[in-house]
Amino acid sequence: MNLKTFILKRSIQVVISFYVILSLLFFLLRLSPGDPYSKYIDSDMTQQEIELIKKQMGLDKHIFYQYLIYIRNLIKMDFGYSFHYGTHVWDVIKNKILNTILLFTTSVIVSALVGIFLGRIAAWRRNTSLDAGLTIASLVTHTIFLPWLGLLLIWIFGYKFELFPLSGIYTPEIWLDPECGFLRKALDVMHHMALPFLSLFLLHFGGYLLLMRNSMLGTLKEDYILTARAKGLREKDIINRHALPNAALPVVTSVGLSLAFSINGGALTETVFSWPGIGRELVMAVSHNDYPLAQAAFLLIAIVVLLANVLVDILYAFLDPRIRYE
Amino acid sequence: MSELGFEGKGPLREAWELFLESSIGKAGLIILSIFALMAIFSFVPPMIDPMYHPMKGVDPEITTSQPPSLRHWLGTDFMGRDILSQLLAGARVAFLVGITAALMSIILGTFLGMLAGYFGGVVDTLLMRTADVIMVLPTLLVILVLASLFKGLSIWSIVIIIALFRWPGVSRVIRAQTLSLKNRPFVEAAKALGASHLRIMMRHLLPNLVPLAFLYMTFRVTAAIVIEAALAFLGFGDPTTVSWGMMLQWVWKTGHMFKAPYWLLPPGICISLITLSFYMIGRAMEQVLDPRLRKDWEG
Amino acid sequence: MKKLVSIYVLLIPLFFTSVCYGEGVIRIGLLQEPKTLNIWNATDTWSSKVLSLLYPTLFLRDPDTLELVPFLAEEHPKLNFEEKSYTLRLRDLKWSDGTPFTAEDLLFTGETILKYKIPNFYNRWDLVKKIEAVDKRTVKFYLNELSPLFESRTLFSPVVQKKEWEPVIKGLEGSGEPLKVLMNHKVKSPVAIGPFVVSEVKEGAYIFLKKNPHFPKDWDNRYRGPHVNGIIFKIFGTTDTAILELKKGGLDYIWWNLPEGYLEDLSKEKGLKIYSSEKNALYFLGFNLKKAPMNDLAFRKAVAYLIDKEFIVKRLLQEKGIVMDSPISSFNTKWYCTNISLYGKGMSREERIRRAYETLKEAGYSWKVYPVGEENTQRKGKGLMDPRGEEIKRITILVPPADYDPVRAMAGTMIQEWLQEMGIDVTVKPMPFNAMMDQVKSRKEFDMVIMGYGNLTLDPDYLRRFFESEAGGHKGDNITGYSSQSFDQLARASSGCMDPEERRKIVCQMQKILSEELPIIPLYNPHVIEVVREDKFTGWVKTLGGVGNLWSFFNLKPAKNK
Repeated sequence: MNLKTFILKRSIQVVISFYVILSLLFFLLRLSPGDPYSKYIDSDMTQQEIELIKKQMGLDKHIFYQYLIYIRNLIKMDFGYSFHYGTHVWDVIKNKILNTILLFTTSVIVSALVGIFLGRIAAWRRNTSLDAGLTIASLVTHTIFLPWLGLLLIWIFGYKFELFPLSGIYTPEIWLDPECGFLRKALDVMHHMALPFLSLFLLHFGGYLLLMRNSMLGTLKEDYILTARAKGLREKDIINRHALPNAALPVVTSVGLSLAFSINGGALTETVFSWPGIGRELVMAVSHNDYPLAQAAFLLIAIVVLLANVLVDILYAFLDPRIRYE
Repeated sequence: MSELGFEGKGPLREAWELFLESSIGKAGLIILSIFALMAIFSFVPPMIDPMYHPMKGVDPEITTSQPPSLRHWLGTDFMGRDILSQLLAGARVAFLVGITAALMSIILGTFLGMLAGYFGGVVDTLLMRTADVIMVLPTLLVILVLASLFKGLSIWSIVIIIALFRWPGVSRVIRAQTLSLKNRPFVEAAKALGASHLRIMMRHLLPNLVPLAFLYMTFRVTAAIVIEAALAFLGFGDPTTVSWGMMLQWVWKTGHMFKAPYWLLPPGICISLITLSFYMIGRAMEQVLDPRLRKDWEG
Repeated sequence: MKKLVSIYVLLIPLFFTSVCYGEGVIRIGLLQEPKTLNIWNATDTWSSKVLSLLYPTLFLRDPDTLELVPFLAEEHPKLNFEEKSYTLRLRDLKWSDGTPFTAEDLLFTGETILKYKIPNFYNRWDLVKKIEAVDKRTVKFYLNELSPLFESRTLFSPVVQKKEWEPVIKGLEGSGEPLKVLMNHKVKSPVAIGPFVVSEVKEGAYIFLKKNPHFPKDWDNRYRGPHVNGIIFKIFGTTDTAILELKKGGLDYIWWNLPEGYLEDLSKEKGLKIYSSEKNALYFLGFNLKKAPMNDLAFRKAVAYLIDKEFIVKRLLQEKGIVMDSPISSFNTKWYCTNISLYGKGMSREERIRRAYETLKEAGYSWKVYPVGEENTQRKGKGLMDPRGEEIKRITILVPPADYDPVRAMAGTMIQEWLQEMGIDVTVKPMPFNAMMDQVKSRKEFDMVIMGYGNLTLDPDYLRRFFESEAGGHKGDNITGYSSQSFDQLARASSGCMDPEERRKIVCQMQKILSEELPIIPLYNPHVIEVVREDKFTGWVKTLGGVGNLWSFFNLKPAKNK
């Protein structure tokens, strides 16, 4: 099998996987009890009114008929209108996903950079107290319960010391003030981002640190490093020139996948910090039975992650031809 | 790749000794045994007085959340239930959820991964693409959908869902390991002697996969505990079970978050520490299984 | 990395530079994002709250007497018995775009609602056969049948501007799904008739309302507002952060009901004021009357004796609420009647157990272990058996989960304990709200359920909706399956009775029947607990449902001592 056939084969598989996911989503969402209008027991809506609106939303049709319409609309790239917001699904997602990318993607990148940097130091200074300290610190921060950490941070830095805003993404007073320029507004968003970013950073950098450290230690035992050492090269050169590029590969893959996953945000972080992102929106959409919104958001995430997976596979196949012949 | 063949008792003891050499592993074991003790002692308070029942017991003299006292060492929650007995009961739930969910997903992942690796071809493609599909769906959200599908989650349905959605990661690793074992001389020899597929898998492959599976189990336990806590925290837990996540949910929803630290801190610390302990044990096991990571790497 | 940190540290002073924007602007917290500014789709609490300031109804309720006060209307409607019509004179007002408010607008609103049967609005208009404009500011409503409900329903309808909506409605013609198109119509800034208009929206973060320049200053001699320049609605995902923000001074009012847990802490805080107001709600234990033993009146009565409502209000609501004896709250004096059975009000636990025991025993029930022994000694009963001598199978009480409504979940647990003492095998099952509604309303597969209607009308017509036989079918509002001919007759008579005295008598009869036949046991009605910053704005008007009402927004003034 050459690289081309491999890519072709994987691409076909991705299309099939995608189809399975979208069908799965459709039926999972519809099978859960209730419908977008079953919650309104308190309101003045009578049952006849509800039946009428359900009919117009197409919810009275047989589930397989609804499925066919859903597939047809998907082919036309028409995701429909959110039942809850009454606006086009894409309008809702567009706003929320940018906020999510801003927070989560930034935090993945920064924590990966810091993790790799510190992981290299830990591997270099292996078995010293610095290494032990870094390892333990990253284990502890990596396993801390996220929402709890978030709440503590809000309490300490947001409320007790009043260093950062408590929640949300904008200070309305700043954004409404015509005298405040772009810089001031950007700073305001950064200011709001600080606490959620900090908690995500604390949670994630440890993972990358440990991964990098292990990968480095593994590489340092390879024959070519031993050879380099036998040749009498300086330790620093061995680490930076020979070990680092190879050791970084698994870390880079892991970062790549995390980046892809980061667009699904985190319902927990977004809930605790009231960050208007896609993760919280999805939880809400599911609990509101807002099928079009939930489907579209799920699918968007699925496609990004699937593609990232394939890219990683292809990258590996390219670097290591043995994989193709399995 | 590293040599993973543990056969017979000698290497196992050797592994144990190696494990104990790691201070991280020892620390993890110690923390974990404290939690195990907590889980065992969780049966004690309700026996002393029914008011110490973690779910139903209410102190007749207390109607609001009270700070720690002699009667209630960690204070009480908003309706006069004892926080210490809830915390102990939470340890029991964490073990139940963590270990059963992890065990189930590991068994599933190991077998499916082994099948995929051993047979290859269509079986492999089917299983691995299924794994892809499951991995792509955000676990938490799928659980939310299933939660409403099941009409509310009992702690056991949470366990089963976690198990069903957390096998793909394991099976990928096991599959890769199976691929490398498949061509080893001892498997080839067994094949040449005419052993059946089942026999080869059970007698020759599985024993060599178990240590790796066991390593992944420690990570799955933490994942299961965290997922359960996160679900409970978001309000999708089993309201009839006292878990640490549930306790956090109660502090949060009843408005005691920022004024009852005696109630907010313990469950969070416990969740974090128990995941930490499993992680530490996992790290230590990793060192045992992968000689490249051992302390004496230069030797 | 170090550089980044130092840049950030250098920037920190910038974050704290004072912002002078927002003089006289009140900041209000909302728990969730209002889903829309399109009034036809605004079925959620949060959009209704925001839109209520843009679209006041024809009449409002006086904050103290709860009587009708004309708002968009100029005076009370004139009733013509022969014609079955009401004539209504409208106030001389202007829309926020400066055009006059006319009879045409009301006509257009009513006709649109009737034509397309718009959910949430249609039942306010379905009594109306025809509307016509008498002159520019007078409207005549012709009804199918005269009904007291016209006043409590149709007069509480908002009005939209014809000019804004006519093009949209024109586009609906020929569409197979007019409602879908109408509800999905995107509205950025609605043309308003109320005191405020939408100025800016940032999705997921805030909504800014500013004063409607065309709103008259002098429409009421008590409340002459609004005196605030605008409102910023800030969206918080959690109550905790909203409370902290309020304490820090970044928020002036949290527009939702706070859990009791916050009270103690907040009452110590300077400058804050807590309002605990009544709301017209009903929390109750409902029986499935189609299933044994719930179909037996004696069993239901015994349960009623065993439930200590005072305990629930005192312990679980911490006195922030009232006991409900009838489905109508006791403060709704116009309709609440005292001719009802109270089942053990004020009794001790022992007395309650004895009365329940006697009720069951008289009806032929027996026990494996009797809860009451010789000389009235009491112990834990076991194994209740029905009159035929068969043991009663386990009964489930459905409740929403503790996070959705902690009080209901806890009340369920208490009721479970009380019934178990009597030897009734009962267990509480918390269920997600959607699933619970499906089970109770659509499938009618349940034994008992603790439910709540959070926002009822003052008019008692909901008794008809909840208990008439007709509504007992699939997905009907009558969840218990209660069916009584005499009740049905009374209910029908009540909704057509134009004489208030006569109607009260009928409603009293209905309450009496319900209290004797017990399809539900009314439990409690919690207060709305809200908190405001009194040191920034004063003049909150407390009325039924809390301080978040139009009256408050007319009356609020920036506090003088700053």
